[in-house]
Amino acid sequence: MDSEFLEIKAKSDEICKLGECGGSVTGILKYLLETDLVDNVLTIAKYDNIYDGVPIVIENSEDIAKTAGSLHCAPTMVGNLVSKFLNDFKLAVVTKPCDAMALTELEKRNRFDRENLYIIGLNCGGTIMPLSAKKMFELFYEVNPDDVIKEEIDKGQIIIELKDGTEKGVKIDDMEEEGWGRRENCQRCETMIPRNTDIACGNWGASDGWTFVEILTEKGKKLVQDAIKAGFIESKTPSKKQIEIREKLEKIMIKLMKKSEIKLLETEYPSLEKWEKYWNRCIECYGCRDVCPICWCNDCEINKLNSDSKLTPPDPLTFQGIRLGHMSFSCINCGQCEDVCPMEIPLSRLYDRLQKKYREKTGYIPGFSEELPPLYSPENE
Amino acid sequence: MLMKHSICPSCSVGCGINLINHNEKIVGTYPYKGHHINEGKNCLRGRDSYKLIEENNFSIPLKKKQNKLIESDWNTVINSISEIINSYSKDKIGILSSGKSTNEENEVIKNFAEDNGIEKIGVYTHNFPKIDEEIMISDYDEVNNASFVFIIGNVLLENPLIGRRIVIASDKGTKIFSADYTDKSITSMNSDNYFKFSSISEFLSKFPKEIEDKFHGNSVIIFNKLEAKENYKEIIDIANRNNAKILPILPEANSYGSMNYLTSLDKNELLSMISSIKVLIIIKNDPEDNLLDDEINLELNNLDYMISLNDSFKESMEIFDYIIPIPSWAEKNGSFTNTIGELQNFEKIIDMNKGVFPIEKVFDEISKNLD
Ligand SMILES: Cc1cc2nc3c(=O)[nH]c(=O)nc-3n(C[C@H](O)[C@H](O)[C@H](O)COP(=O)(O)OP(=O)(O)OC[C@H]3O[C@@H](n4cnc5c(N)ncnc54)[C@H](O)[C@@H]3O)c2cc1C
Ligand code: SF4
Ligand code: SF4
Ligand code: SF4
Ligand code: SF4
Repeated sequence: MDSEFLEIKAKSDEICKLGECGGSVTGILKYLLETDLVDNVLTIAKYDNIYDGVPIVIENSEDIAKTAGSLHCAPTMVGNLVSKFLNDFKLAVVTKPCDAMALTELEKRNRFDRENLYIIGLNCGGTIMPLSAKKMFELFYEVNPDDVIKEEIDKGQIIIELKDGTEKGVKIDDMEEEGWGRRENCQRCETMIPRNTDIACGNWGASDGWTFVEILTEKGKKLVQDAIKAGFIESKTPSKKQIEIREKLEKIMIKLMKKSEIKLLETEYPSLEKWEKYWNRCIECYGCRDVCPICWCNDCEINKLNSDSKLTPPDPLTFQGIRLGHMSFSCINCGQCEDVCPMEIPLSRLYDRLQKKYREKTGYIPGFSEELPPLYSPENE
Repeated sequence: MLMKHSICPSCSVGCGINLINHNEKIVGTYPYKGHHINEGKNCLRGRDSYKLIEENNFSIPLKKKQNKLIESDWNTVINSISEIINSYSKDKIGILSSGKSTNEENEVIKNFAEDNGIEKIGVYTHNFPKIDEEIMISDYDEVNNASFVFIIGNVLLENPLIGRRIVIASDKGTKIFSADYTDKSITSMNSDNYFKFSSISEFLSKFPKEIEDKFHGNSVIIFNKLEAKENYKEIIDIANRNNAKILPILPEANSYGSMNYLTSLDKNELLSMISSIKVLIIIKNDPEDNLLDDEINLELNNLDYMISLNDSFKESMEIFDYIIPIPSWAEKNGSFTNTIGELQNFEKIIDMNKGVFPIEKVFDEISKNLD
């Protein structure tokens, strides 16, 4: 279907207040749970503080309000959780674009039934590693990170709110120039609006206190209409101007992204000697493989390698080579491999770069193309 | 599905980890990216730690009959153990805990021994003595920013989340020197200079000038193995005369904390304790862990009874006469103290299996029966 635009907010005052911008996502989730359209909701919630977002499954609609709000210091990934533990449920899942791309790739590999799933997308301009965020707040904002009770991203700034009510903002660009800011893969991320979900929700173009929602599937359309009818959310039509603002913001972000992409994948891409240094310290812990939402084979060929001695690192041509050969065409640049590598190897640069080269040749866009990558064969993966 | 924060029990670094509880089973781990020590990175041993809860669980007390362990029941085993303890003089009874026991468990063990007049009690910490709080211990961030790092042991492989900080320093241009028994290792391959030795004691006694000359600014000596307690003092001497800090990496998650309650025993002290007793109560130690090497295992053969309290059963534990299941770290609230002395609390993630009782209950029941 052609996408449609709406501004939405939750009817409940509580959710409206707790929500990031209108609480529309939370309102819709509450509707899904209360009407038993889903058994469970999978989303992200604060565990201890704003630097500590973890996936959470909610079964009871009374518990959904506590998950409202955006956590920008929570670089989570839910693809594996859906395909491993939740594929038997009727489920609603809240996704950043990378989560949604992972789900698309997993669906193509028959890891779950899309029919059972409501995918509620969030626009995403990037996530920050929790400890980097703390250091940034110390360095650039000169505040104690423990005093920060809320953070949001608005007009290119990260704005923080302190315990005593004061607010401070610093431009993301300025921090990134000095090597801080969003994760590197996020700086290269090409998808800000997840148009592979049922609805994509964001603050771009939205009026104050409302969420700007792009409705992308018939299922999403029905969901929104029914939730309005049932009184969980209300809606209004955004003006042409608002739609344009949103488009403009997306374009600006894409331009910025292209700049980072050239820097990280070309001009400042590690040299061969640098890669040799990196591979020399691989401890063969399989963290990169195990976290990758695209790698899911139960019988991974890497397990069949005869690495009898862990005293020396594995041969990168065989170890990473297997992964490169099996899944790099489908790499969605989620950055998880790099996040979890204990040896600080910039893995997602390698995978993302190869995917983009492959894309130039084949046109295959992971997370969006409906078919599997042209070189894919099930034995391969 | 419910995710809960915990602390990795597989080494003394103290990494955070999320455990996934799905239908009241721990089915996996998930990166804990907000943790200040490891930011969601864990090594394989850490990520596999959830298997310690599920795959190795046992819940029925075992006793030896005709040289084979058979399933028994709680009352029988508690009564037999009490009778054994009653039939020996207290100086023939020893208790050995491990760095896997939580702080709270070690406190219970200590109190049990004190209440019952058992004096031969300690924890085997692989030749590491109690860490002297006066000594300049490096914290983890200081490794990232060190001006020179000297390593004893294959730290990159064995304690990867400290290894990570070493490679961060190396990427900034810090010189890394290391020494170990092997010809080659991941640590040696990532060092600017490597020294192979056949004995740590000998190596330290003739400490190479090439290394000594490198110390400057904020240098750190990192070591994860020792041959004897004296080695520790020698390393401190080297650190002191070079104004360096040390980062001892103890063998187990709570080795540091356990030494706050119990005397640390090095290998010789452990051997002499075993040779002076007839009954050993051994907690969260098992022969397969390499913790108890051949020589120690041989000495164990001379005992009349070995009574084990453990959270899992492995075949190597066939040498014990009684085995009582106790909860693993994830089945009870508790705490570890990591290798830099930081107290880390963790919560119960899952209920104990039916039939498993915490260590305080085991010792309470035994105490009631003692003369
Ligand atoms: C990291 C991040 C970056 C974003 N960047 C932009 C942007 O550049 N432009 C834009 O228009 N909109 C962006 N958004 C979306 C925006 O912040 C709101 O989430 C969206 O408008 C919905 O608002 P709401 O009030 O309806 O949501 P709420 O009702 O408050 O619900 C928010 C939902 O998001 C979930 N959530 C919170 N943090 C995460 C996370 N890290 N990963 C996955 N799910 C999470 C919550 O659990 C909750 O279900 C971003 C969101 C996130 C999480
Ligand atoms: S990879 Fe893209 S979608 Fe995912 S967190 Fe980063 S910017 Fe957001
Ligand atoms: S290779 Fe890395 S960046 Fe690419 S999909 Fe897998 S985890 Fe994500
Ligand atoms: S996560 Fe890093 S260290 Fe572990 S196997 Fe992958 S590349 Fe090697
Ligand atoms: S380095 Fe140690 S504490 Fe960290 S994950 Fe590995 S075994 Fe666990």
